[in-house]
Amino acid sequence: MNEARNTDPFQRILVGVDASAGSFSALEAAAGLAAELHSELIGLFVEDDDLLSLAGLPFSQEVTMSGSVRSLDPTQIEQEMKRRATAARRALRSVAEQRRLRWNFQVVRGRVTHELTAAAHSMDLLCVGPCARPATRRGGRGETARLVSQARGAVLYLERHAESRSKPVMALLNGGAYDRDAVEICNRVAGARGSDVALVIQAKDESQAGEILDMARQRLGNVRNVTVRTIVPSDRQAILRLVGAAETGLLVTAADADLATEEGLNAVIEAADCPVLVLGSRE
Amino acid sequence: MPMEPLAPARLYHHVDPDSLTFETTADLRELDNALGQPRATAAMSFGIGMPRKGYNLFVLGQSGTGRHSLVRRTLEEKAAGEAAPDDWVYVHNFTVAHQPCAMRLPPGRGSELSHKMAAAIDDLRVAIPAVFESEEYRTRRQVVDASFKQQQENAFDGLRKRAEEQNIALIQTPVGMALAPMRDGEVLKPDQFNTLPEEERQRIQNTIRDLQNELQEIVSQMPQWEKEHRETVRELNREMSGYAIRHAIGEVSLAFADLPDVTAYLQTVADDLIENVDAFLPQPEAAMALRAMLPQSQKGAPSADGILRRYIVNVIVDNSQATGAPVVHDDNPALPYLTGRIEHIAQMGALVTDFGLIKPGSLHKANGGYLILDALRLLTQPFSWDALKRALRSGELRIQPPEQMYGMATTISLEPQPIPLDVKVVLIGERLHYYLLSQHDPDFKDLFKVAVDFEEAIDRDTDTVADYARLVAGVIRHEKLRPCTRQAVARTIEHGSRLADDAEKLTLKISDIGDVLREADYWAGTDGKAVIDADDIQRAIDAGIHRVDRIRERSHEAIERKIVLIDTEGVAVGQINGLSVIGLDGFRFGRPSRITARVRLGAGKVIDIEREVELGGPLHSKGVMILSAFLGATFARDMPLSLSASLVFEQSYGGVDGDSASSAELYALLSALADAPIRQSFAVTGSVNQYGEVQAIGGVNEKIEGFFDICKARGLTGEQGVLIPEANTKHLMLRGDVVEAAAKGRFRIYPVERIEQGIELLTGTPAGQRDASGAFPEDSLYRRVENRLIELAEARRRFGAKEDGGKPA
Repeated sequence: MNEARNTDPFQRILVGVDASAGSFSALEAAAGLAAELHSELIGLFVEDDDLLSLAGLPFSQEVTMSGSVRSLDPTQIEQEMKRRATAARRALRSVAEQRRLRWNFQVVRGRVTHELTAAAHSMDLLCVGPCARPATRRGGRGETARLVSQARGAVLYLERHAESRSKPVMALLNGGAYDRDAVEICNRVAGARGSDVALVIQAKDESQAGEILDMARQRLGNVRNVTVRTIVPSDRQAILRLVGAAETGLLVTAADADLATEEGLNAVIEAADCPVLVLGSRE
Repeated sequence: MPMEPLAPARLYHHVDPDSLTFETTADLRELDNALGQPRATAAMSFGIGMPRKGYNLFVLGQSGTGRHSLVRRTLEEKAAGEAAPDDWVYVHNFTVAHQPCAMRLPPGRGSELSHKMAAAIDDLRVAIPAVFESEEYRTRRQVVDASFKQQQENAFDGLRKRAEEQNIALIQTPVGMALAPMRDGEVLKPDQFNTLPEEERQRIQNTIRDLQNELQEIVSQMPQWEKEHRETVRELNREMSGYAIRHAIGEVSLAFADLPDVTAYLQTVADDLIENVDAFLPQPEAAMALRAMLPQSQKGAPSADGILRRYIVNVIVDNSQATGAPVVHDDNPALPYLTGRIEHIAQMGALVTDFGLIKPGSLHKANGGYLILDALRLLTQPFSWDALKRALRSGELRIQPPEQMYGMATTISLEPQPIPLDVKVVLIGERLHYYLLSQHDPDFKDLFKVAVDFEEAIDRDTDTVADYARLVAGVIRHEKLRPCTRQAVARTIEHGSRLADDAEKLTLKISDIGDVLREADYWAGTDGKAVIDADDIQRAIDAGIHRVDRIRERSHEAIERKIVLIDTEGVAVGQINGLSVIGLDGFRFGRPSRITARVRLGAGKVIDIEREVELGGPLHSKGVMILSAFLGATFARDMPLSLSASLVFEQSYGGVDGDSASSAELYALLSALADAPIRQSFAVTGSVNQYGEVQAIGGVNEKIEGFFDICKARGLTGEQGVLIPEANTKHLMLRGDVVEAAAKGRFRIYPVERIEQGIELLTGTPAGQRDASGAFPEDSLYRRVENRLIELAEARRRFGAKEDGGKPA
């Protein structure tokens, strides 16, 4: 690995793949980002322990989305998981080879959230799609916020996967510890895509906004066009309106400051019509 | 009294250039009317003016007589004073998609509607996406979507909450959801569950069963919620796009407020646009690529582009530039180009179509005016004649491919609404076509009631010669040729008589005269002349003949080299030179043929060998039978005709037809019977009737010239000549060299009225007439014939007696 590679912000990207259509789309997006950031792509398939336990109970039944009820057979569930794991591995290999990525694939058994967060500890970025989240808790976004906090690293949340590589990469900067990382990622991704960068700077005053902008400009050498919106003083609703109205290919933000709360992150993910990369704690 | 040959003046009817009152054709005005066609002109005028159904015209006559130009000129003059007809457009039928609607608009408004609609749709391509990208729409859409999601989440949250209160978790399975008992945040494992008291296990199961019923209830409601959500979104879309659509279409509608049909159509368009507003929104590339790969049968609903094509206006007839009624000449009346067609485009191996691919035919273009068609071209195109008749009979124009017309294909295709048809059709054809159609097609006379019959020749007199000069001037002017001197015009008029095969007529085949004038202009040009003179006309005529007379030269060469045996001097019994005409590609030439006759005892039958071997046509056989009748009536009134005679065209390997050789055949037969040699320096043409009268034949000029050429090649002796029917003398327009030879007494043309005149010329022996006792004079040829026939009859009687046992009858 050369020196340039060592400066890559994410050297190892983890993506949870459960062989659903949504997870395959997430895999594609994660592979695209891995190629842009010269990262290794690691796929993780979790054999859901809760589901296996349920299937072992004598009265276990599932209600299908068509409304019918059928019994759960542990043997069938086991076989289905093996089949899905094989399909997930094949899909990962395919996208990685297409993009000439280094890749790895792991199968673990356990609770999905727990295994993902555990695996994410040794990774630089965790990618989760809408179907990779467990349904045992309310909604995916709260779960994402929880994942972010538990992963103690970055999480790429992929709910919508429409082709958007030509649209600008947006960074929400707030003068926090992750601003430099956010700008660096914007520089790398936008440079690879040939797209513009949109900076949304929230600061307590104009002076701080200017400092943030100076820092950002110094790091955006790969980018042709940069647009800047400053919000002084910081106003969450204004940020959400901006995020909702903008045509964006990737939103990069940090899980600190005003967005550190689960509610704040949920609101941003809800408003954005694109993948959202949340830079979390690196403790 | 010996018969006199025709005087040179009767062999060619000159036009005296001094009788023409101009120097060159530049001094002449063109003719105002068609020369020599008063009947056709009157019929044309009547047919065009007659507004009733079925009064279409059939223009019959030979090609080159100016039918097309007269028809076209007359129609254009009439059409110029008439109003331009309406435009016709095809639009989508929003009720029955495969039956596009036809719509009539005033001239020029069709293309206006088409352009305005295209512009409105283009505007909407921008305006509608803008509406859907607006802050207002996004906000309202988010509210609708959020409401839908909230509805689902509330249902599941309620269930999840109630479950959690009872330590039950809602978890996702590969194809749905399930409820599981929990302990310490994890799903109870089977062995843990089995250790629970029976009462507890039963309680858990009951709880899960109840919750599962609730879950089922929620899941069963989801399709209905989704449907309600879609309807709400659709209603929002309608509301948001409705204003833009009604505004855009309303502007178009305003321009056509005077046309209720159009405004009604535009109202339907607006409603349909609102229902299909998604077509204006950007389609995901992946979805479009996937759709393109699908076979046609699996594509289901039309694509966005397909939906937008509904709103085009297909202008079938555009009269925006018309200044009068249309006059259309369809040179290729194949069915698709006559009645219109539905074109297809290939998409992924399948052929697809829509109303935008309907193309007009010549009937569409001529609707409200006049359509000129060539009858032969129309009749030789499959289905076209039937389609034309059907359209004229029904008074409407229906576009149907032939497989649909005849029920040979049942695939779903377009059935465009028929268009009312009001057209006057002018068919131009040969007489044969007209009479064949009259006889064999019962519809023909109902649909083409007006015959416009073109003459092929006019009488040649002082007035017509003057008019003919103006006709020549018209051709010169129209073709932008050099002016003709009056000598050239005189020579052209003489050539017109030759083309008419009659010294007292002038041809009306203007195209032939035009050819000579054009070619004479070329030759005048090569000589650097400013005007065309008589030499140029003659050169054009000679060069024209030379280009096509290779066959004639080869034919005459065969005779000169004695490969084909023709004697032009000496005498022979039962042998005579007949004359025939060979026509090749409009060029005709005469050729002598040796005809021989042999007689012997027989049962009174004259054998036509040509007929026996099926080389003789019916007219030739008729001629032979007539001469047999003449022979019997003249010589065997009181006794059986006891001969068997054979007649043959020697060295004839093609077919022989016509009766023009019947007099020659009779002369040969008489010679054979009388044993009287015939002078081979003569050739003979003319038919004969039962009374021995020699009758007119065709191609007399070519026949004379054909024999003259052979004699000239061998050397003119002054004894050579041709016997022609007297009735043909008025047709003589012979070549200059023939006339010159006749003037010098080196070649003679004898007009013959009766066989007796001819046989005397040929044998030098008078035929003789019966005297009061009924006998021919002693030394007459007919007496010798009669004696020979009596001998044959006697011989036959004696022969018959031997056959009956030696007892004389």
